[in-house]
Amino acid sequence: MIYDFFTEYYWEIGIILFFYFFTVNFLTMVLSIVGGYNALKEFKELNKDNVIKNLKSNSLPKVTIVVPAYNESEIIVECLKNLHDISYHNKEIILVNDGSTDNTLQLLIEAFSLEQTPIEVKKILKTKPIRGVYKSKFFPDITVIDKENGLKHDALNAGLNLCSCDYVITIDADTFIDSNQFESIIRPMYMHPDTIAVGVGVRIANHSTLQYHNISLDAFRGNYFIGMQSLEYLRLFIIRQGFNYFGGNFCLSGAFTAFSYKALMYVEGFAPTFANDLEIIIRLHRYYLEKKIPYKIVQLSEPVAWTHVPEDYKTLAYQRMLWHRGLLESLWFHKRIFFTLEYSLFGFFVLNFALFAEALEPILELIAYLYVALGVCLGLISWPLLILIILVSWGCTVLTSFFSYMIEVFTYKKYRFNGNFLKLIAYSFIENFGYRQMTIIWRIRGFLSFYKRYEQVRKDYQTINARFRYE
Amino acid sequence: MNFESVAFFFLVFEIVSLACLFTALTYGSVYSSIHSSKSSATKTLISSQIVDSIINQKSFVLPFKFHTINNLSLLLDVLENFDCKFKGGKWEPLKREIYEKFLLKKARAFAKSRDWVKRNFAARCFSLCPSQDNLSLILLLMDDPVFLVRGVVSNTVVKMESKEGIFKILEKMSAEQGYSYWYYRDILLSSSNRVFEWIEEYSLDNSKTSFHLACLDVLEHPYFHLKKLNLEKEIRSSNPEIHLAALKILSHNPQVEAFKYISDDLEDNNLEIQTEAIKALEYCCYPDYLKKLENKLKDPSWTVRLNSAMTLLKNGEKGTKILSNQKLTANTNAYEVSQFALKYYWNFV
Repeated sequence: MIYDFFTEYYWEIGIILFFYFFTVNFLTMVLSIVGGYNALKEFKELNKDNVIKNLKSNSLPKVTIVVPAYNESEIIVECLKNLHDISYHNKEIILVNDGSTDNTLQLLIEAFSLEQTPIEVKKILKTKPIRGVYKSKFFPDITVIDKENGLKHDALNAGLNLCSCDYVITIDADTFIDSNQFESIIRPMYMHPDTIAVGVGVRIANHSTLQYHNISLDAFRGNYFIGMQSLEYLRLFIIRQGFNYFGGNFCLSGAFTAFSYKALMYVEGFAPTFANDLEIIIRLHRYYLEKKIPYKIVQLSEPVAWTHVPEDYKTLAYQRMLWHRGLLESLWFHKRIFFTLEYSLFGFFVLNFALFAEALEPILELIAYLYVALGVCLGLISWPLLILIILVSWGCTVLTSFFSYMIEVFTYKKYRFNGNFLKLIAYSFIENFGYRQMTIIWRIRGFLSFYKRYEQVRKDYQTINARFRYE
Repeated sequence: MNFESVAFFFLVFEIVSLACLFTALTYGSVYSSIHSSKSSATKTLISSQIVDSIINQKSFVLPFKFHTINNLSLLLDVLENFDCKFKGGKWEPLKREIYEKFLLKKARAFAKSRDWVKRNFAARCFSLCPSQDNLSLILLLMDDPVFLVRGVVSNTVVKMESKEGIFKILEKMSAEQGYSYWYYRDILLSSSNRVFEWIEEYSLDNSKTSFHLACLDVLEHPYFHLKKLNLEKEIRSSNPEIHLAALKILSHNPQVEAFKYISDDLEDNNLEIQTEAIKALEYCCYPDYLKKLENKLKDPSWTVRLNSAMTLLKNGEKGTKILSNQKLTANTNAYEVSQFALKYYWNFV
């Protein structure tokens, strides 16, 4: 009976699947083109950007950089040195040691001559108990908070409690800043005063070198997984810029994002979820749209932050599983926004895109693989058609990858026309055979993990909505 | 229409697009490397021509035939870089000569262009060689919707000391939201005493609070010296923002007459005003000021106590001695804050 049903409605199911993949790819292409246009426009603006040149004085806003750190002893000193040495002088750095079990705090105390100081941390946002606040005698802009472990969101909230500036930058401990590009985050604050969050281009720092606080890619020797992730990051940040024109992004990278302090306080800081970078952006959208306050959430094209990514299968698989679970959780927390005109283009387009093109995509792609495989087995799909389908789906990925390179070549040229660049081209040709299928498996594991944690998610949902008084 | 033909159609579309992208990619890579090396070569050539003109007193000759916006932008870039490094001497007349010969005509034409990049070019040109002849265009560009245009051209009015332009900057300061306020403020702070005198004159107009505040905010800068105290109305204002701005002016422009106001404000209910009055005592030696600061160490507010301690530290040996003499038995608050300041703030003073 199932066989009869399948053979009878095979092509109807095919049309539904075709319609889905066509829409997703078409929208991705449109977002890429618009994002590419945005990158070119911003690059052109940078050349004319005499404002920043004139702004090397006290008119630059003071920013607080909050760095949550948990067992980061390998990289923490380098990270803090990098942040301290960036040329932007009007800054304070708050590093939050989130109950590390290794010698992270000890290393910091030795490297920066820290001393415990009786500074009281305000209790605006609830966090786990603070063990101590440390200040450096020689680097007055550095403060270290030592607290009990409470995960990333808790560490960020502790940092926010001590923050004294109008703008806060949250940055991961394994992320490095390119000093040359850092000031670009200031531009949206001048151009559009209602900007509440600014995301920047994030690139991959593995195997690149840091010379005088500028990233050099001359020594880039990426392995297979780094190459694939470089491709993904290139594509992703072009697409994210496209969202600037369609109601704003639903996610800015947790590795480096600048927020308006006031906006973060309005929504009571970061929420207890794994993908807190994604959740906070959705919540900011929701708050400002509900209150009808004009706002802007912007994704910039400049590659400011360089982050370390997993280099082996196991770590990458775990990271992707957590990312997908985080995406599902965040969408679940804000499920009432979907399909509502009240939340304008963000609710009607952006979040639905996140749901259908990101969250549900691995399931539908798996169904499509099974559908094609069954079709071939049952003789419903001929071999030439199968080859055509494979080529078309392969072409889609290569096309977006090529487009992203083109934008890179015409703008910041971080991946120059040399060995690295050719390597990336080669990776784009093989991405659809193996790596893509792996990402589907990892993301489906994210689904299963979400299902396993469903009771906890429900509780978190109630806590978050009660805390933020949405329902 | 069947699946094969649809898939075939998409494949053809993708192959054509890929071919186009690959061509663009190769062209882009080659073009951008050639273009950037050509641009830097042209810039080097322009720079050497300028140096040659300065040393050998020759007139400047452009190293390219076509006066396109790209070429002229390169010329403008080089001129701006030179202008950052050289002032006066042979440079000024040469700069003006090049500007009038090659840039002025284009700048005037571009000032009303629809393209903001061209308007930005015009703004940069006007900023390079400010002249009263272009005042109407400069004022027009100051109202430009793009910040990169109006921001750049605002420098020009300060350089050429146009009263009308200064008024416009103050208006912009009071009207614009966000950090552009500080940008305009910085421009005004780099101006001459003559400009400050105009701002002082404008500050008498208190019909619009935001404009009035903007004027006071600029005047608080220590580089400017008030001729006479004329802030009676502001310091007695019921608006705490105006009161605070006036107090800042007084604290940064120390005068004997100011002490009575500062002394009153030391007891103000507003914590910000009280703190500012304490900070005012850093800059000058009013009668009995150390005694007043010592008393403030016992204040119930931590902010007031800490600021008093910091001010005492900044007063050098006398202040440090007062802090060291605080006894735990006499007053816990004063002792605690003194020890805190001595231990943690000695190197930040």
